[in-house]
Amino acid sequence: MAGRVIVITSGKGGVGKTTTTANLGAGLASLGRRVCLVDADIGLRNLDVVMGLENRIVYDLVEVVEGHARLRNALIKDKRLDGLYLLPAAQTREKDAVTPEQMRALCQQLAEEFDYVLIDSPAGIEHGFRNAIAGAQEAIIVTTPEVAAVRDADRITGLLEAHEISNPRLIINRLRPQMVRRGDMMDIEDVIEILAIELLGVVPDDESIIVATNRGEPLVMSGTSKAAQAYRNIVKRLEGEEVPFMSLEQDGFMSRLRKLMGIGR
Amino acid sequence: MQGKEAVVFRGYRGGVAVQVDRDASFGDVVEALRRKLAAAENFFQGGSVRLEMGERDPDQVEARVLRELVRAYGLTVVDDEEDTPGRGTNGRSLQKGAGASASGVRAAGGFSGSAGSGAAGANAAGGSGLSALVGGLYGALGSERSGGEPVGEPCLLVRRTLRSGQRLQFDGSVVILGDVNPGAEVVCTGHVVVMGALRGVVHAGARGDMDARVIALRLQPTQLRIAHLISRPPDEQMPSPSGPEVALVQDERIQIEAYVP
Repeated sequence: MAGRVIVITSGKGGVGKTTTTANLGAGLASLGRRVCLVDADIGLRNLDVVMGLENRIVYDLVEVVEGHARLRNALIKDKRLDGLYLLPAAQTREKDAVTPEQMRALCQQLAEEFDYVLIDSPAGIEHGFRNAIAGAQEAIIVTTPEVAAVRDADRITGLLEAHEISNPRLIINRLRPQMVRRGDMMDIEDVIEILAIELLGVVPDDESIIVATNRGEPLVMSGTSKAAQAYRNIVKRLEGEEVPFMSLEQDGFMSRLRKLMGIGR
Repeated sequence: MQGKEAVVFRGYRGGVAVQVDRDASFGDVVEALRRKLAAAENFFQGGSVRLEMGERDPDQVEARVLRELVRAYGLTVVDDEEDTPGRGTNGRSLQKGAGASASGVRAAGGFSGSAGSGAAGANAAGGSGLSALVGGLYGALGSERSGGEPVGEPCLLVRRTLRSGQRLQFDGSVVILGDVNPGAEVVCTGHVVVMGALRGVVHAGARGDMDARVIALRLQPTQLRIAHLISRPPDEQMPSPSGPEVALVQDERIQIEAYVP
């Protein structure tokens, strides 16, 4: 049975697509799935860095598509998790080095060998984006709870619908519950009201993510923070499990006091 | 028909017909059709037209060429002969409730999406569904006002939310069953009715009709225009509207009131 090809996209840059791709891939692999991560951000590749596999790149996606390298030789096997592979992008080329048709063929080939093919889309709506979605049947849209990011996510949703990738699912990244409480940040309902797509998960803002991406160790592999837990829940939902959404409220002093005194929330 | 144009677009009950003049040279016909299709590109995208060759082309040789040309501009060519053209006139600006003004149906277009999504986007709006809707409304339009019967006007019904970057343009009025998200645009010559939240940019009465109105269940546009007037929400945070509202022009300014049917 062919695997699921899912594109992770956003429109806006810097909202967490690459981090999400890395963590979802690692999370699925730790559940025993065979996962291939594909970095479609040609020219500005980051997935290799975030996965800590930069030093092991020999061949890249463009060379495979041009016929200079075999797919098998370009795939980098992650030594930390069984069944997790990365197909890196080229850094010295540009987005037009690959066509959507080539991406489609490549994804089809990968889907025959893997349970999941996760495609990390570049920011934007032009050639790079069109390449990234060409081979995908499903989409995950990543946004932060900020007005500009939600605008872009809405645009992307419209474009995905026009390309017949229906039912994209949403990950809201970098939520800060304290800011939401103060009214300084959009809350989950505000975002869903505009985007009106199914919510896959909410990942709270967490410093440990920055540490993890800098170290090249996806958080989900070892982390205990709420962000790591959020990613693990998202992975389970991808697999079809119904996982209730975590409460993201911080355990502030007052709520701890209340709990201590037996007065519930 | 004034002058002797090689190609004339005519609105009629079922949609738009391309009438080819009997005596013009085929070269002139192709040139004229290409020019007209290019000039009206946004209006026509996704719609369907009928080719009327009259007595000119019994073997359908020329028709085949013209079909390809029409298709190249994103239109489809329909063949049914059930309706004859000539009921409506190829008039000019849309007069609200002015009886036999059939001009609004000059272009039975869907909406144009962004580059790369145009065709699929227009299909979503339902090219053929649009012709059926237009046809139904034409029945009401064809008859002159007599004995107090209601006179309708051309109106486009869109049954989905408009997302950021999508633009809906129509010669007539527009009803949207859904939201208009920020970054989306609605431009039409008549009224705009949004059965949802209007959060994008809207321009009603785009050809100068100061009587045009914008009605929404939640009127929260980033910018609202009627005819040549432009208005935007005040800079301070306004509370969300508590019910349906209508924007209209009074004393040369756009005013917003609670909508009372």
